[in-house]
Amino acid sequence: MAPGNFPRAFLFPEIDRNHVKFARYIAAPVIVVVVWLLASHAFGERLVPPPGRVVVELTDMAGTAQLWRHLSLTVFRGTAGLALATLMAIVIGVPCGLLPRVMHALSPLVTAVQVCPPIIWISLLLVWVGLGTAVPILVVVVAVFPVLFLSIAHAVMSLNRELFEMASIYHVPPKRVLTGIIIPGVAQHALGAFSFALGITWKVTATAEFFGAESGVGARLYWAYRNLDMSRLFAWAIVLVIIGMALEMGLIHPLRDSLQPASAEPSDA
Amino acid sequence: MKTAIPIACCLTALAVVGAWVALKEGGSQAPLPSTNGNAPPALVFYTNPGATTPQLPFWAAKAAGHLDDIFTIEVRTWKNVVDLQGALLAGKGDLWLGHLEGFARARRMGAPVRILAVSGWRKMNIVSTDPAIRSLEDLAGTVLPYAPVGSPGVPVLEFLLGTRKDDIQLRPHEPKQLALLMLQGKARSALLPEPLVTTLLRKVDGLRVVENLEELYGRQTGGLPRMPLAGFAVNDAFLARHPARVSQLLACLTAAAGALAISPDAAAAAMPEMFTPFVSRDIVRESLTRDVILVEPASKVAEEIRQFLALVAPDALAEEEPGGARQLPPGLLVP
Repeated sequence: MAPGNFPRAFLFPEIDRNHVKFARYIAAPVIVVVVWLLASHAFGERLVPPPGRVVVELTDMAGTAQLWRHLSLTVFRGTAGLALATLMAIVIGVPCGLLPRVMHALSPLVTAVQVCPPIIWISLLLVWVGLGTAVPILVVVVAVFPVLFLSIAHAVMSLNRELFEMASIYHVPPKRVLTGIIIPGVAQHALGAFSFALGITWKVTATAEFFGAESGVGARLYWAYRNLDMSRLFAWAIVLVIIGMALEMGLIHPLRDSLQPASAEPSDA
Repeated sequence: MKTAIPIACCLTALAVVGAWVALKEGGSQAPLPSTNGNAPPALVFYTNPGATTPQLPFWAAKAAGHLDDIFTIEVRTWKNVVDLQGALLAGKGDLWLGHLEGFARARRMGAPVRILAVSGWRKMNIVSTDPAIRSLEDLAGTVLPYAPVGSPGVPVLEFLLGTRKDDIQLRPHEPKQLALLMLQGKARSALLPEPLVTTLLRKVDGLRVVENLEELYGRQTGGLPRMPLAGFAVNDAFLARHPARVSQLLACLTAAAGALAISPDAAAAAMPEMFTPFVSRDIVRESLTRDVILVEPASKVAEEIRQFLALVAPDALAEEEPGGARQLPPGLLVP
C-alpha cells in the first residue's frame, strides 16, 4: 500500500475504484442540494423555494413549447453573435496581422471596446435599435470580437516573415499562402481564443436578453424576477446553468484539451 | 472530443430552430388572430402586462371585434420604462401604451410619438398598517418606500407636500420587491399603484388606504380628482398613413371605455388571457372600485396634460417663453 493511500484504505477498505469515481460525480450535486435545503429553511420558502418545488416547475416547463422556444432563441442569438464576431475577426484580423502598423493603430480602439462592460452596449443598443433580437446578438459581437481579433492578428504577426518572402519570390498564389501558411499557423491560437469566446458568449447572451429582449431565457429570468416568482426564477437559472455546463464540459474542455501538446500530458495517466 | 460532437449537434439544432422562431415571430408574440377575413393594415401595439385599467378599453374593443375592420393587431410587450423609451426613440411600433411623461420626454428627444388618448387617471395610493398614520402629515420624519422606480407619484407627492417635502424620505423599489417587504412586515407604509394596492389589501392584515394621491391633487389644484397618468400614443408615420383609421380606433376606445365604466365585471373579463399570470381578473375587478375607466382624446384634455407634465416632467415641456408658462412640445398631441 502506498503511503498516500493509507487514510482512505484504512477507513473504507471495502470501497473499490468504481465507488470512488461514483462518489466524485455525486458529491457536488449532493453538496448543492444540502446547501439549497439549508438556505430554504433559513430564508423561508418564499425567498428560496425548496429543490422539490423547483424540479416540479422545471418539469412543467419542459412539457411546454415555451421552454424550447425561449431556449432555442437564446442559443440562436449566442451562436449568431459568435459566428458574426468570428467572421469579423478573421476578415479584419488577418490583414491587420500582416500590416503591423495598421495593427498598432487599431489596438487602442479594440482595447477600448474590450474594456467596455456589456451594460454600456445594452443601454446604447436599446436606444438605437430598441428591444429585440438585435440587442443580444450585437452585444455578443462586441463582447467577443476583441478577444478573437487580437488573438488572430497577433498569431498572424508572429508567423515567420521569411515564409511570406519565399512565397513572394516563388510567386505562390495568395490562396495557397492562406491555406498553406496563415491558416495552419493561426489555427491553434484562434481555437484557443474561440474556446474562451464560447465560454463568455452564453453569459453575455443571457445578460443582454435580461435587459434588452422580450424573449429568450434571459428575458424569462427577468419576468420571473419582476413577478418574484422564485420557483420559476430558480428553474430558468437551472436551465442556464445546465446549458452553460454542457458547453463548458462538452465543448470547451475537449476543445482546449485538443490544443494541448501531447508532451504536456502526464506520463503516468 | 467524443462528447463534443453530440453537444455541438444539439446546439446547432436548437440554433436552427431559434433562427426560425426569430424570423417567424420577430422575437415577439404572434399576431392576434383577426375575426375578419379582410386584411386591414397591420398595427404593432407595444404594451405592458402590469398596466391594467389604461388598456382595458383596447382589449374590450378588440374582444368585441370592433378593431378587426380597422387594423390587424400584433402585440408586443415592453418590460420596463427603459425598454419603452428605447422602442419610442427607435420608432419601433405603431401604437404604444405608457406614461404620458415618457411620451413627452421621447417627443422632446425627437421620437416620432404623438399622444392619442389618455386612459389612466387614478392609481396612486398611500397605504399603511401603522395606526398612527392617518394622513399625509403623519408621514413626516418617516421613510416612505414607493414602487415602481420612476413613479410619477413621487413628483406629485413632492408637489403636494410643498416645502415639507424633505420631511419624508422616499425610497424606490420594484413593485414585487416592495410587496414582499410589506408581506413580511418590513415596510408598514408605502406609495403604490393599482392593482398592487388591491393585491396587498387582500394579503396584508391591517393594511388600509391612507390617502389617494389623485384626490389630494384635485383638492390642491381645484380641479377634478384625477391625473392624466397614462394613455395611448401613436407613431407619427403611422398616423400620416392612416389618419382616418386612427380616428376610428380612438372612437372605438372611447366607446369601449364608456361601456366598461358601468360594468366592472365586463372590464375584468376584457383583459386578455396572456396578462392573467401578472394580475388576476378578481384583482382587476376589485381595483376598479378605486379606479376609473375613461378614455379622453388627448387634444380634449390638453391643458390638464400640460399642468400635469409641468409638475412631473418639466424637462419634457417646451422652453419657457419670457414671462410665460412652459408649453407642450409642438406636435405632442394628435389634433
